[in-house]
Amino acid sequence: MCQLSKVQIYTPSKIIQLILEGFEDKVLKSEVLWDCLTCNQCLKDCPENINFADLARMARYKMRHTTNKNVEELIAHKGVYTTISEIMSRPYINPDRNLDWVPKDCPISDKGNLLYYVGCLPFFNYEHDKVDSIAISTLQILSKIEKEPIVVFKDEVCCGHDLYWGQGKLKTFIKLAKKNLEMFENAGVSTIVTACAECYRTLKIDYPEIFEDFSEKFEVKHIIEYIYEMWKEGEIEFISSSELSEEISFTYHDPCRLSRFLPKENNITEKVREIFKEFEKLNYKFNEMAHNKSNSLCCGVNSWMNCNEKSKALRYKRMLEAKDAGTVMVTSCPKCRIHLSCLQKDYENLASIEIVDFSEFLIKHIKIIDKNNKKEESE
Amino acid sequence: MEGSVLVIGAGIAGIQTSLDLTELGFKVYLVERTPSIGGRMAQLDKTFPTNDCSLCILAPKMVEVFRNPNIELMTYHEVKKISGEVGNFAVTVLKKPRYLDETKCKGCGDCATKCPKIEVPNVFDMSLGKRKSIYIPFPQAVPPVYLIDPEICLKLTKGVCGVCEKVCTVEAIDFEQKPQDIEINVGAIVVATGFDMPAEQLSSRWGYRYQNVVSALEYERILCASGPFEGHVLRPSDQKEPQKIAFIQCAGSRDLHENVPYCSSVCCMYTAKEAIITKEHSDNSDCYVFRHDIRAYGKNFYEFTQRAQDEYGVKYFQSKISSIEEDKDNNDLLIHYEDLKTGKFSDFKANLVVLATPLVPTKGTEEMAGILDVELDKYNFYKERSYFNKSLSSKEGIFLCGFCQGPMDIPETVTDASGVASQVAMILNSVKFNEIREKEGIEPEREIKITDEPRIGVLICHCGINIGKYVDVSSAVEYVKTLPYVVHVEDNMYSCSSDSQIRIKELIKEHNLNRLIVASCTPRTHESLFQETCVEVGLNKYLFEMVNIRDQCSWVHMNEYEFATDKAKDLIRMAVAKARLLKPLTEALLDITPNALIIGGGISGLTAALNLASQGFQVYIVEKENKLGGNLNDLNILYPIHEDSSKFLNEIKNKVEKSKNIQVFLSSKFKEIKGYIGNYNVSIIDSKENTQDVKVGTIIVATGALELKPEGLFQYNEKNKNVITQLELEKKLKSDDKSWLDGIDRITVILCVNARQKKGITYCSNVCCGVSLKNISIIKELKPELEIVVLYRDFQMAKKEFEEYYRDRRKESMFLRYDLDGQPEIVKINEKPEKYQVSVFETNLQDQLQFETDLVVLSTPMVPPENLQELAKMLKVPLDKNRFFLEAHVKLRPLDFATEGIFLCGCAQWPKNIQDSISQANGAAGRASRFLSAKTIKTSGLIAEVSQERCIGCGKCESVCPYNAIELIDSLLDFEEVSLNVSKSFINSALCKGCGTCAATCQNGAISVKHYDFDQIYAMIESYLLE
Repeated sequence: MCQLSKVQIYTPSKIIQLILEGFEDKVLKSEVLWDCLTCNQCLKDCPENINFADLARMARYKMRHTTNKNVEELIAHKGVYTTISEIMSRPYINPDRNLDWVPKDCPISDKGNLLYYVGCLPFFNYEHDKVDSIAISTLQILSKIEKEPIVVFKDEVCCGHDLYWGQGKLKTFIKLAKKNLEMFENAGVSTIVTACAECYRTLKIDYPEIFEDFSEKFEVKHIIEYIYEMWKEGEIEFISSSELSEEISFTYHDPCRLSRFLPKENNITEKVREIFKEFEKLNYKFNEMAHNKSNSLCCGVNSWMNCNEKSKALRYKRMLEAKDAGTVMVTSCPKCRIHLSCLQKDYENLASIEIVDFSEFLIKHIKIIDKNNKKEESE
Repeated sequence: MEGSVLVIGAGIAGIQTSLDLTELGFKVYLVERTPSIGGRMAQLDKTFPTNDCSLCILAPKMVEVFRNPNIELMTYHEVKKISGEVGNFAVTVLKKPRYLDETKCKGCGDCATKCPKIEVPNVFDMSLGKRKSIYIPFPQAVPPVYLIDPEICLKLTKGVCGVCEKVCTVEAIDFEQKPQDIEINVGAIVVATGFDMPAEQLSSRWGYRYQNVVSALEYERILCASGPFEGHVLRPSDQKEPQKIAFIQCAGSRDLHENVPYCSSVCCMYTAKEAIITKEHSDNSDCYVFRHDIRAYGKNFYEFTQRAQDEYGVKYFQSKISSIEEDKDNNDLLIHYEDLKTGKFSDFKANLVVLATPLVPTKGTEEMAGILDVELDKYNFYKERSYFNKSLSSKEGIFLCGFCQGPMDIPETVTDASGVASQVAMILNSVKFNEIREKEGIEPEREIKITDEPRIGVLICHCGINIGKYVDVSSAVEYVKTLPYVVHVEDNMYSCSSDSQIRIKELIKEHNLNRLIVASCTPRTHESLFQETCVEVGLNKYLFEMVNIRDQCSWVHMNEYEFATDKAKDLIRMAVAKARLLKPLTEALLDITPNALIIGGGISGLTAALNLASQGFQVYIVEKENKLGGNLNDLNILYPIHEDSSKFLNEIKNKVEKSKNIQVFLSSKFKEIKGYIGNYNVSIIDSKENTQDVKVGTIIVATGALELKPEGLFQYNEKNKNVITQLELEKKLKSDDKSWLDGIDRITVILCVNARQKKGITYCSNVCCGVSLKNISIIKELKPELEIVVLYRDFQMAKKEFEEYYRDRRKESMFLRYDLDGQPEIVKINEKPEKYQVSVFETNLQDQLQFETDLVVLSTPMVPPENLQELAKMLKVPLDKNRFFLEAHVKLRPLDFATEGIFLCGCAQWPKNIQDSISQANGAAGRASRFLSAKTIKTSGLIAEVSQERCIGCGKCESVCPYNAIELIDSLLDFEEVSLNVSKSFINSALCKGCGTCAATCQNGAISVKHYDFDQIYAMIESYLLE
């Protein structure tokens, strides 16, 4: 069922019908497809398996090239973030990223085996509170586990997700992809870890569509997968960070990119829950929200598009569900976290919910298992 | 009774009073004897304390005067004869010949370029620069019209030449012009004749005869980018950059020998400003200020002089000058002076000397006073009828404004100007709007639908040769013809001429144009003219678009004919692209409730109330105390005229009580103030919690200030009965029981207690010196044998009356000077009777002094009352860093808030004495009554607009709006499964000025400014880039 239709008149089935009947022009002209959240909730219920988000994506590409509408006007934050992405796609522009956020005890390198692909997180810091703590936590986890310095690019460019899904800028997206590929190759990396649901989907699914051998060359992992594997391989265990006097109930918000945008075998939704189940030993109580896994509700905003009261209503609904489920809400998409916590500024009744990223949640609870002296030492 | 007013003198005083008068409903004849309005302020480089470019803030007002249909601008005219009385004056004005027809002259300047006559000193540049015999005083002159100097013109003196006549394409030159008398009738007269700075009259010891000794006004021209040296600091003798510049303060003023016993009041500040600007112009220069007292008593003034020293490294010497001599070899100057801090005589060598010479009433004041039949004071300033109302001359119906009445700075002048306008309105109330001209012959507006195909007409102006010589206008015409939707293009010599306006109207009709573009000069001066022309034939004025191909094209590309032509084409093409998308906009009329709310019932509030009430408006005064009068209730005798305070206050209170238009709410405060200009709903609550709601159109804030209690300083505490503040002394003197004086033989007065410091209260409170001197005099009368010692830092006695008042007091008591490094110390040495020992380092004597005293009087600064924040929030107006209310602009809008419809006066703005408070109160009443008189307010079409659909209620626009025009409003929205409160931004069209700050800030692109919306701007950019 279309999530958007709960807050405004929106009927994907009618749009598809119009297209099938040969009124594609009319659909493009009406620009209704700019509104789609590309959450892919409808795909789950579609008997014909129509990928509506993909349809919206392609329509945006066409709309951009056929109508006069100034799309930049539609984008939240006046399109500044997508503008940054576009600038990065230019051939001779290499970003000089501020790496001040990198903790002192985390050695980084520009060449090596494992790349932490940071994404655009640190760019948002000026507008949204403490977003880079996601990056800090992730890098700390990686540094703790890995023996070699982690590769972090000073001139990392955008993955292109927003241009691809939100803006209909296919060519710019491909430019970015090529730039990224070249950098990955030059740095000699074989594993790419990211904490961003959007980067993950893009590198995991969309880049291999462009570069045939991408998947052969690079193994792309979300930090959830990475930790899951390390845990299963017996490299790490989960511990309580401090003495919790009372049980903490928490819940998990599945980002669309990690739930509905991946092939079934990927299974991140289940892996993360397996980890959380383990946390019940640490005086945590995991509760599901009313909508979860592939049925998860949307954070209301996609690709920095549509922030408005309709989007707020969607977020509000999600936050009410979270409030019913626990005091902490974990998510694994930085933008979900930004958008959901942004709403807390407007509504006091939602302020009590602590919204954290998976990495931030995990960082205090990871312990390396020293395989040589397993029994004697503790840390 | 005549509904018109004669204003004599068109400096900032005359300009402001004229503008306010027209808004109050009077026709103004503005007579100026020089060829342009602007006066002295136009000559200044920057203005203190904000260092705004003087002409930049003045020029808009000059243009406003020029455009105002109800101001008859009579420049190069002189008043010759006046007869009659208030309500009916007959005035003869002499129109001096410009030797050209000012209705024809377009100010193109072709004539001056060709004029062969050798150049003569330019008076506007204080004779430092040169001009031709046909000239315009300065480029921004208003009216922008040339004139011929008959004394040097070859044609007029010798009958040869006449080349200007030949080159003038509009045939404006007329060598036959003769002086002409013009008779006008007016109801009132405002004198605003300003000041002169005649340095040449100084005695020789100041050295003005040397080339490198300049007066401060000459130095302003030297600093000015449009001055004779184009803003390079050069000295006149060799046009080299001076390294050491000496600024001499009080060069001739406060000096009985120079016949200028008074303080010119502005020099301390402009000297600090000139020194700062000098340092900004050239790092290599060193500035030295030879000062006497520092008299910087206006808002943030004292801090400004401190900044000059601390931030810019300007060095100040407390000194006395004995003489200035020239070194013949290199034209440097030798200053012989006494350093008052060390008592030593020294010589100082400077490359350039700037004299703060006395400002005196303008030349011809005596004759003018004769024509007006009004009295002058002993310094030749116009004499005010009463000390407490300096705007009234000795004759009914003739008002005084600005420096012609006495030394004052620009904010005070502007205040006076508004005050005079309101007092004119009081006496001519019955004939308001009688002579105000409404536009006639306006056709009803044609309906233009968005769906109508654009039909664009373009006029390209040659502006004489200003554009025509540097841009290929005919090729531009051909090019523009090819642009889409352009149905007609033509060029003309002067688009602004009156025959061009007729032509524009014909074109609109003939070609059924629904958009018009004029490519010519700047919209700043001419847009409204063309808009009016459009309106006359029923075309909405927002369907007009102007392109500046002169200031921003032909003038800056004078040697690049082709590029200039291409640029002109680009600019016009962009305008055509925008014009296509122009929409007709409406200007709403909002009613104004003709009532005023006055917050505070002190002297300021009462004066403002009486002023508005006598103009026929209903006034509500809300006072938090249980009686009217504010600080006046505690005062004894008022300085400098020694009038009984109670008597003075009672007279005013009587008038207030008698007025049927004034309603007073005592012991009251506000529950709520809602609304905006013209429509405020005010809920007043009294001490018994009774509420009453009133509706008002405007609000005047007159909340006053209080004396600071110096707890813990100089033995001031509960136990010590003989350490008191000045106000406490005042109360003692007011009471009938004077027995407290019996055991007292010596009183010590300490000035600047807790004021003018680096930390804490940094400002000078302006009134304490005067109050202290007054009380000295009163005590001396009561007990002549009493000794009084005054410990002071500088004396702020900067009004024309004050210098002598101060000198008289010096005879009555002992004055000891101290500075911040050597604060006085008070030690209690006896309990009963109380006795104190005072130790102080006297800086003039350079000696530590110790003496005993029976009573210590502390002069502390005035501070704003507590809890103003709450009121400020309710009114949505700001406070400054000292918690006084912050006006819209310290220089030119001292009585307005940035939020329209709310005004301030008196000590709410800054500590001030009664005279200034009254002057401000009348001024604020004048500013407020402009709206009340108008009955309606017209909103602009050019305002910002919020797309409710796109607004996410983040509130960023609200926080950046400089006019408080934006409000966030919550509403409950219902969605399926959930309802939530959503904030949306709303823009009040009555307050919005269309500045666009909100539109630039909105991160969602939800706000656009009408007439400059995103589509229109993108269309322009695209049209530029895509060609």
